[in-house]
Amino acid sequence: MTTPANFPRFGPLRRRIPIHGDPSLIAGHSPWSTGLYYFVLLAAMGVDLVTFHQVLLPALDETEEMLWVVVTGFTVICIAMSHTFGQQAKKAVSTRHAAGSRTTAWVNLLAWVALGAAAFAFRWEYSSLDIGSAFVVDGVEQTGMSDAALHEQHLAAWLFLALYVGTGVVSGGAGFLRHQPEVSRYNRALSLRTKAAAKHSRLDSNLQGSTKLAATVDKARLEHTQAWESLQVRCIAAADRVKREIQLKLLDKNTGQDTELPPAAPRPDVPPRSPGNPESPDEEDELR
Amino acid sequence: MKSLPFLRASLALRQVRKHLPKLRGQSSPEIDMADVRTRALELADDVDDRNAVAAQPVLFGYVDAHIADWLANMKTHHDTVQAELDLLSVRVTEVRAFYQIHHDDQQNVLDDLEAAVSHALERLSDPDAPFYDPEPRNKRRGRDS
Repeated sequence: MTTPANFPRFGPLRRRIPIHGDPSLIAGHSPWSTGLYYFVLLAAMGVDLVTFHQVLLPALDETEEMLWVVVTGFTVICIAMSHTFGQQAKKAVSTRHAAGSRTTAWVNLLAWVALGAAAFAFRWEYSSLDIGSAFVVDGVEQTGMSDAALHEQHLAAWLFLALYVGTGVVSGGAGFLRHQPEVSRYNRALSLRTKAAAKHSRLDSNLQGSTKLAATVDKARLEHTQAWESLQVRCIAAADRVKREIQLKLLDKNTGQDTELPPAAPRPDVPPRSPGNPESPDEEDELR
Repeated sequence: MKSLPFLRASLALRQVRKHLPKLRGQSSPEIDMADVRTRALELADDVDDRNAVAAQPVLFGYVDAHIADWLANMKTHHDTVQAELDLLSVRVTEVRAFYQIHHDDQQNVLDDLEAAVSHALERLSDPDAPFYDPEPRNKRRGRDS
């Protein structure tokens, strides 16, 4: 991203400057980079899983399975919060028209801090109060930890806090650095367009096929009508042939007599016709 | 996986493609004149020489009656095939209208998504590119464009 040098970099107009992006971002990250990205997130999740298990083990009097359910839920929630914080912070800082992104980022950040602080305080206090040894000195029972044990538990609490913050920073940073809303929006639009184009092509194919088939059926209907008309003509021709043969036969019988045979009489009955018969009586007479 | 209306349309087209060649083959029956010719010539042979003139229209009427009878039977067959062809035409027409409406609707969707893609690319190259709220389809329905 480059910014023009003549625009003020500070003040109320700072977020109004045009930022010209890089369309090559739509190519996305390399597979190795993406794999590393998810590996880092999974590693952070694993660290949080162990630390939350350490915290919740003395706190909840539940079965082991239920404990792991709670631990997994806490881990997913804290990673999701820190990751969402990073994404929304990126939206709030570097793009336009992302209403509510700043609020969402702050809410996620505060909830993430509250979760970590509560877990830290619990580990700090609970460890120092409950986990210890009881011994009797001069007939009086003494409850409490030795300074070394207390120091060790406090160190463990600090270690938890450091791991919690570290994984949160990794997850949030990954969300902040890798989140490209325009790229994902473009990819989503492109994917939807590709699917819509495939569906459109199938529908177009079906439409063309049905259009051609409709034309074929109409042609078959027309041919069927014409076939009926030509069938009538052929019947008339066949009948005329037979009539000529009869006439010749009768002429042979009439040889030697003075009277002549009359021409072929018109047919007494007219075969049924279809309404669109173009055959005219004159043409029939010519055929006869 | 096709939805039920699309499956029904596809099956209707398949049935039309299956039945159409059979119906087209029934359009041109051939008349068999051999029997009536043989019979008419036999009758002509049997005619006495003195009655030849009078027998001619009778024999012609015999042939015409045979033709008329055969054509009447064929007319029934012709009308049946014609009715089946009309039914195929109706089926194809309704399937075509079904595809046409879906095709037009999908064309609208595709046009909108083309605009979305170009706009997303524009926003990627220039995040300050203006964009407008899309107009609802129910406000656009009935217009030419």
